[in-house]
Amino acid sequence: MFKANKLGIIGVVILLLFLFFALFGPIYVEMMGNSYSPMGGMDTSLGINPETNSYAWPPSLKHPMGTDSKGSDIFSQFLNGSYLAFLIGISIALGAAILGVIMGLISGYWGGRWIDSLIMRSADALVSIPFLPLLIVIAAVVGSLHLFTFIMIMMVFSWVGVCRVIRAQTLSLRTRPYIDSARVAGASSSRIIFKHIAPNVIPLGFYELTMIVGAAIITESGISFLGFGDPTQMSWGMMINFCTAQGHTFKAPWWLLPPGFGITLLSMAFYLIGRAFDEIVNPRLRKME
Amino acid sequence: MANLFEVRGLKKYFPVGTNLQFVNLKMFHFQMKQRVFTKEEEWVRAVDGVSFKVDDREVFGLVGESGCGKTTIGRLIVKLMEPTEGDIYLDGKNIVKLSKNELKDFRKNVGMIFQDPYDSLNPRFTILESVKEPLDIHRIGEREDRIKKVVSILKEVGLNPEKSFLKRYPHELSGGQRQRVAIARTLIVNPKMVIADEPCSMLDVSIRAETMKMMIKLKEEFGLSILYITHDISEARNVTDSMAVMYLGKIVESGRTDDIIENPSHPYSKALISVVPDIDPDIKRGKIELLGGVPSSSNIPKGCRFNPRCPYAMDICREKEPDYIRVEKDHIASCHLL
Amino acid sequence: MGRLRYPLRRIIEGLITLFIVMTIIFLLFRVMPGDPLSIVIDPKMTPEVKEMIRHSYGLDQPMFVQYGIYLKNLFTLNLGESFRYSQPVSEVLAARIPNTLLLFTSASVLSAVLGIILGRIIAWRRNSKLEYGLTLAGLFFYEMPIFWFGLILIYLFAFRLNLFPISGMIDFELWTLGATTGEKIIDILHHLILPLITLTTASFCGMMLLMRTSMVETMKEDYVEAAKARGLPDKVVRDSYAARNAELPVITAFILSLSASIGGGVLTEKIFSWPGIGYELYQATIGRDYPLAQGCFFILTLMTILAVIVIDITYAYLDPRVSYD
Repeated sequence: MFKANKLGIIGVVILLLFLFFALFGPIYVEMMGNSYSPMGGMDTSLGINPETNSYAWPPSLKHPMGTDSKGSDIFSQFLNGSYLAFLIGISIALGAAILGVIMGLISGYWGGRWIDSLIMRSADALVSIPFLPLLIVIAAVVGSLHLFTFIMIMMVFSWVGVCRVIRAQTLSLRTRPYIDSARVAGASSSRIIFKHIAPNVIPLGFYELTMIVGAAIITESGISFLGFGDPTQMSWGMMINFCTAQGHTFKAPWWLLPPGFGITLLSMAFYLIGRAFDEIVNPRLRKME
Repeated sequence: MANLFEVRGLKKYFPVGTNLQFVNLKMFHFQMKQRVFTKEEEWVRAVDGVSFKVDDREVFGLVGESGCGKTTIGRLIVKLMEPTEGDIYLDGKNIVKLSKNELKDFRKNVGMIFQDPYDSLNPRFTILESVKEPLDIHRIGEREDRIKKVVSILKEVGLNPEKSFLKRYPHELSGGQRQRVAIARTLIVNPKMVIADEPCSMLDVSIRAETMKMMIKLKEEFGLSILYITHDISEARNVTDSMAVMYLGKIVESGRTDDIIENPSHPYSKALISVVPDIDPDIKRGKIELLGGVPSSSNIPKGCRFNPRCPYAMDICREKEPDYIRVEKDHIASCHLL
Repeated sequence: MGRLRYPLRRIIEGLITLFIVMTIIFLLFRVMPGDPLSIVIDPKMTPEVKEMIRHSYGLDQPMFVQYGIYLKNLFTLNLGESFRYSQPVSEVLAARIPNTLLLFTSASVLSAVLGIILGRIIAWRRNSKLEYGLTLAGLFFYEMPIFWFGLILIYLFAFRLNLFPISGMIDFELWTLGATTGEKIIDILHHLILPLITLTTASFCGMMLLMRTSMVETMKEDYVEAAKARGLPDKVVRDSYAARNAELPVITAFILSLSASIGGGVLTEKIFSWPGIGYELYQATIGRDYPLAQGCFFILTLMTILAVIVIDITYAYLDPRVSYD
């Protein structure tokens, strides 16, 4: 493992930092008491900040990231947001990856036949649908999107990238002599796909997987920002939405900035890790030293 | 001697050009039936009516230049492809159409050794895993027995010390060793017949001889037949009992190897043999050089397909395809000169 | 005929996709909880009117009749009436499309050009400080949530520095008080800058990163080595040899990202109150103006599909290895 890849290391460091944030959240609330709870906790001891005309105060010793307009601790919200980001990002990525790998293997192995066309046409159709507008339209009918619903829907739309990569690699592998050899020895198609092709092919999907995590986090924040997200979850996007909705966009940078940085940095971390891993694992890139 | 294996009228045509690909599968079959009978020149006739027999414990050679169809025949026999027409018999049974169970059984009986030792083993499998796989597929023996079988077959193919090879990966082995592993993997299920597709052409010249010798030895021990495909007629001479010379999808001469080498009847065979150097300085064969290169199989010459390059071509050669003439016992060739 | 076949085929496929998508939407609305009628009925309507509309949409008839009516309406562009505007949806949309096109196309073109140019420059100087720095910076702007970036831009340049207007596309006062065409154009451009920067940045960074990756792969190829060995100037090798081929996968990836770009466009329009389709989609959704919301979605989907087709066809012409079967 060439850990010498500097960018990859930066990614890992950032990831670990945010992982710590995610896990530390509940502990922090434990430590500081219920008034620090990310959903609904309020510091009642605060007075109104004349500059913001609300309970929003800049960072202080008591509140390391300040408070929002209701007097809630922003740091606690930030930690909770980190946890949600991981939850959302990873579950969507895993679901999409599993779907994508299976579709890619099937599509690639039987390339040119009807199943391949079917899968590829579906993929093309999915790519042609503007995702955010779709979510908006769904939210229009349903109200706001429950987190679980959002995760499910996004999984369905995210498998395409993984599928294409896996399919391309499967297509090139299936004509290799050792596959013929396995077939002549009597191996069934499923055996060939899962034992011979899959191990050689799955690592290449890892990069796509990390990209999906980033996309998921960002999409969720977008939907929450618009006000169509799950109102019971204070995600980073929700924080920004709240800030804007309360008119504090220009008045409280300590409220507006952290969630944005959180989204950006965490997504960056996943991208860097994915890139580093891909450079190690992808036979095409390996040549370049 | 029993007739283990027979091929009759085997044909394999491939479609050429993009027009056909536009058509979906159902119509494709329709069109195909039409085109085979009407517009034959639209197809690549890789194998154009081939028949031969292989006896029990016989090594039968299939010799010819690239593009003559020998590899295609190999792939047809192991059912990596379906023939366009024709029948293939193993032990009297027609294997062209098989049920799923019959197919699995068939795979135990016919194995194949591939040309490229560098790519016929899965790079991520250890030697043990690769050689053991056929046993796993056909569920032969208990788990522990399987490993023992692998060890014993590695010994048979001369990989010593056997145990040290088990955990190794293909990239740690030389080409010759890899080919031995491939052979081991093929033989571990005790097949009746093995197709060897240019097994030595990617090996160092120095180890070809020992590989061939080992294959003959194993043939005797395991009591199997080998279909030995090669472009090198001297290899065929060393290893085969009978052989067939192919040109552009058809057999032009076949019979006992010694007979053909001694008394080649078809101009093409004569040319192939003439360029092989003989260690005996007294034997002068006189090189026959052929004009031109092998034409593409989608554009097969009319009449005898060899006529554009044949030094003895006559008018009839350009008109009519020659029939098979019996030159001696068990030796036939198709040429108008006979 | 071969060359024409491919575009035609793609267009037909695009229409089929559109068809499939709108069918899915149709089913979606029928499957979702809630009165399907709410999609077309303004709560302010009287019961008689509601019944009339219910009948005209066939909601009192079997599903496939409804489907037929739905499709017919779509193809004749009868998208219903907007509740809030009391105008046919198609009219509202027609007025907004140019605005969105202006923003979106300029952003796309700009990001493609910048992305490719910068991408190949970066890749060429591997392992330099410039490469690391730009890659990280580019990545930062790429992963940044667009709306957040837009808000920050507004804060900095409009609010604080007063360089640009905070929102909207035009200055109403200016226009109503009679301005020359030149002044009008400048006004639009002035309003266009911040949203354009917002929308372009993420996209262009994405392209840049992609181009860099692609270039890194291409640069290893033998023909690049050969070109260098022949003594061709660095810039020529980079641009005419490596970049030409590196661009191709970038274009493919661009297709995949289009759906995201449209989403970004919606967010941008919302933040800047840029009166385009995306903005209307948001407003219509908030205001429960379902016909308009659906209409906006339809247009956006159409745009996405069109863009995919255009890029696909362009790619087919650019890559000599692709056959037009």
